Amino acid sequence: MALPPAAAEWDPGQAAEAVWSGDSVNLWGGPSPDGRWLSFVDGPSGALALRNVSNGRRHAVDRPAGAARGEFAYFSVFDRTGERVAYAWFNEDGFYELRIAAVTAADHAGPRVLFRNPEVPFVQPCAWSHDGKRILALFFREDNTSQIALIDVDDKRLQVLRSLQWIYPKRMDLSPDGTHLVYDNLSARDSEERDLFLLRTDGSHESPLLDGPSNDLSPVWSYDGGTIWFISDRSGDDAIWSVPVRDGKASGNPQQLTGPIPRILLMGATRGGDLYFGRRKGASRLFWQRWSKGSGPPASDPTAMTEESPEADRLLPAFSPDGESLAFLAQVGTENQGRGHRTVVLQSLKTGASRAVPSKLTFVRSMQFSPDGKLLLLSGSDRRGRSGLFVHDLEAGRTVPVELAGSSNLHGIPGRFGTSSRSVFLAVGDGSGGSAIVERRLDGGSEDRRIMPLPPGKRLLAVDLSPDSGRIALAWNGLSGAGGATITVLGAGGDARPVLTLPQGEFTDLNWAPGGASLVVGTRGSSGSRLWLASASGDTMHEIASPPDRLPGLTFSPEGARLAYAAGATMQEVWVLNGAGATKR
Amino acid sequence: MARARRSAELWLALGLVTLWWASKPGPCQLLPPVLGLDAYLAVPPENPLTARKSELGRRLFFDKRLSADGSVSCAVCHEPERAFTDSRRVAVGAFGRIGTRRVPKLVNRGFGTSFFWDGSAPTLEEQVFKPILNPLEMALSEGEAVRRVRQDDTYLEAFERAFGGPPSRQTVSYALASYVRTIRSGDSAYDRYQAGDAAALTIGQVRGLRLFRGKANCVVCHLGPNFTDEGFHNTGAGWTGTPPQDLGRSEITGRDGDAGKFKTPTLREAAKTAPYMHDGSIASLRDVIDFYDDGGTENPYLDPEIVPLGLTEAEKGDLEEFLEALNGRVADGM
Repeated sequence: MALPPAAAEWDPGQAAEAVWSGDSVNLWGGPSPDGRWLSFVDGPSGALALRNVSNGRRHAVDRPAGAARGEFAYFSVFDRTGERVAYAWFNEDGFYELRIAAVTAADHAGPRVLFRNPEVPFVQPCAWSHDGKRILALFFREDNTSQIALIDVDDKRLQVLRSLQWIYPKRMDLSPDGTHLVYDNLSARDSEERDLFLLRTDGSHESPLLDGPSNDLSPVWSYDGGTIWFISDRSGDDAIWSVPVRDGKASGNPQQLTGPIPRILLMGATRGGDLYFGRRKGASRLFWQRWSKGSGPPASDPTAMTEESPEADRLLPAFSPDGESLAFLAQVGTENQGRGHRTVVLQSLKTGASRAVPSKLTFVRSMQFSPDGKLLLLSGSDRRGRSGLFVHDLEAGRTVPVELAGSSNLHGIPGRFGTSSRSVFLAVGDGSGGSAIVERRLDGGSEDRRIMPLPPGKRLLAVDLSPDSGRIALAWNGLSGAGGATITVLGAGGDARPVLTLPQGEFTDLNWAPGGASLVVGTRGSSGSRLWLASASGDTMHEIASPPDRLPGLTFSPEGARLAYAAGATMQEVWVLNGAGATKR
Repeated sequence: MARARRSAELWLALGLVTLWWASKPGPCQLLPPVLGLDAYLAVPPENPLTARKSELGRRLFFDKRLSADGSVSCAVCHEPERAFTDSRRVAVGAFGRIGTRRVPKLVNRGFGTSFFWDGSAPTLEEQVFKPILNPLEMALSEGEAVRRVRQDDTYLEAFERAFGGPPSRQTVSYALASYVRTIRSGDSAYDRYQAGDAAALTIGQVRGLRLFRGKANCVVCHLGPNFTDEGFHNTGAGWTGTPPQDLGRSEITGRDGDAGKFKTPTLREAAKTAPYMHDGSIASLRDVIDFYDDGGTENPYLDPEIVPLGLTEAEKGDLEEFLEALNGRVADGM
């Protein structure tokens, strides 16, 4: 079993204090140099916003108008004067661009785009140079290469310093004198441990910062240049550590600053030496509800299937065909933190024993057993950053792609097994810019059987085969949350009929209900996450009682008497370790 | 008179200081940026990159005296105009001796993490002297190679300036490795496209790029700015029977599972560096695409990623067209 043992609740002691908690907290920003402000993403609007640390007041930096088109801000970092913020922005074309904006209300110039390239669909600003002329950023390219680069704020010129293939640093920072940067990276190709590295910003030299077999990550460089803070498990559990640095190398031994803190992420430091960090609390777990084939909707309150653990989220349940096992996804750690953070787990429902499935996937969107129970069909992306549909052989322990998306989107390709374990239904490109639903034999013995073309301008969320195998249900969402989500049922005669359309929001789930007369449909919109039972003809539709914090991913037990899903809210908090820079060195 | 003498002494002292300074090996120097390539180049601290070493390495690279019969220099097989490889199936060395493997391209080897098709050399410094010693290549002894270099006064002077001492196996290796590090290929149509110039690739090349990353699954091994994972894979190329004639990586590791594995080569300049594979057994890019479309050659250790691809003829054409976009500007020296 890959999950860590439950750790004791963290004792913050005297030095650390929580500065922000509640539903709206996210950990994608950082503190201003004077510690007065914290940049963050305003959840409902998607705008980049600042929060006054002392009184909780907030104001938007970027205009929230883009939210209607599915645009939103992501990672952000203050410059060294506290007057500007660099941030990632998910734009209307469906990829991230790099923006900067003044934080003062007097500046009405609005944000300025520094970098926008669909071939580089993800960017994360990490630090500004001391003079404010360059920004250290992480770029992730369509070819699954991550790159450490400096971008010139005036002329937008990009200097790629270091390419790291599909592995990417969780955090990077610049030395105040601008000569070095520090980043974390896997210590070896197949390792899950990270080390810290110092790279000269002219590209002339790189060296590891520390020795030892521990997992070191999420470095933050102090304003005075003399300290690098980081997260390390070198004493057993994750805790905050510091190491003195001089002339581009460690000048003393690392020192532990806190006790163990589960699910932690460093966010940045202030000029005065206060270190901001985020942590996660709570977790999602798996539940089931009774299901009556005759009357449909659940006739019982949800029952927990897995124990509560502050250490890990449990998601995406999938029953084995014999009903004796449950596969699910365990997500450990903070969202943007490394180390085995997503693991497929196979648990016996008889004994409770569980084991990690070596799927080698880093992101999983959906999971399904094959009819013979020997394979898992997984949509997501693998450790090489390849997005697609994969089959994992539970006996051989081997994962192979069924189809690759050819882009770096993490969500993979939707697919479902048919009546046999030898073929799957999935969406593939047709070679001329369009795409189609096909049935593909996994033994490669014959050409794909084309089922139907897919409409352009929509993103296929899910495909599911009816229990009698005669019909296929498909759920589409509009691109970038633009609306127009549709469910179509393809009949045995090849007729495709739209049965449901959402004017707003999007589908999160699509499953045929036992018996095949109706569909269970999950939706997400302004009214939150909801679950519906819709007749396959689309004539009737009514809501099923479900937890408001239910998460995407549904599964029916093989006999059709239980519906399982994940639910639960993970809370995030922002803490500050006061005077971390004043520690002995 | 005294003033003139003092002035002469001053000039002499200045000249001596200049000479002393000029003879110092000097700090690591940076290569000019090339579009598509990283600024960071791993250079061992014991052999910082300098223009003097690179220039000296270039002289050695083209010097046929470093082969037993005086017929072969590094450049005879690693032809600059062919991205530093040649057009033969396998290498041909001194006395016309036939090697066993294809001459590897040297472009962008400075970004490499192991060297030779089987990865037997962990550093460029270690790699560059081995062909001089290999009986099928340049066929010299270490002592004879160093002696030949030392016989040339201009080399003595250049080594003194570059390393502060006479030629040795180490400094010959350091000079050659420094030169090889400067051999780079970038600024291709692909690099311009990647940098945001949407018109840099043809429509067919863009389709080929999508296939490269998707259906054709090339990116599983050929990725990053240099189009290689620096790993070793068994594609079945050259596998004509079990055990194969050339065990590849397993000759180094001793592991059966590494049989038939060879280093992933860069695809930069691929369109002008036929024939292909470690044994030069595939004549054209289109044949390489057909080879992978067929799922490689079946063998007990075939990489599980090598499976039939089901590419159409049009898709194969697009892939081939895309690979041509990886031809860029090949430059050497500092």
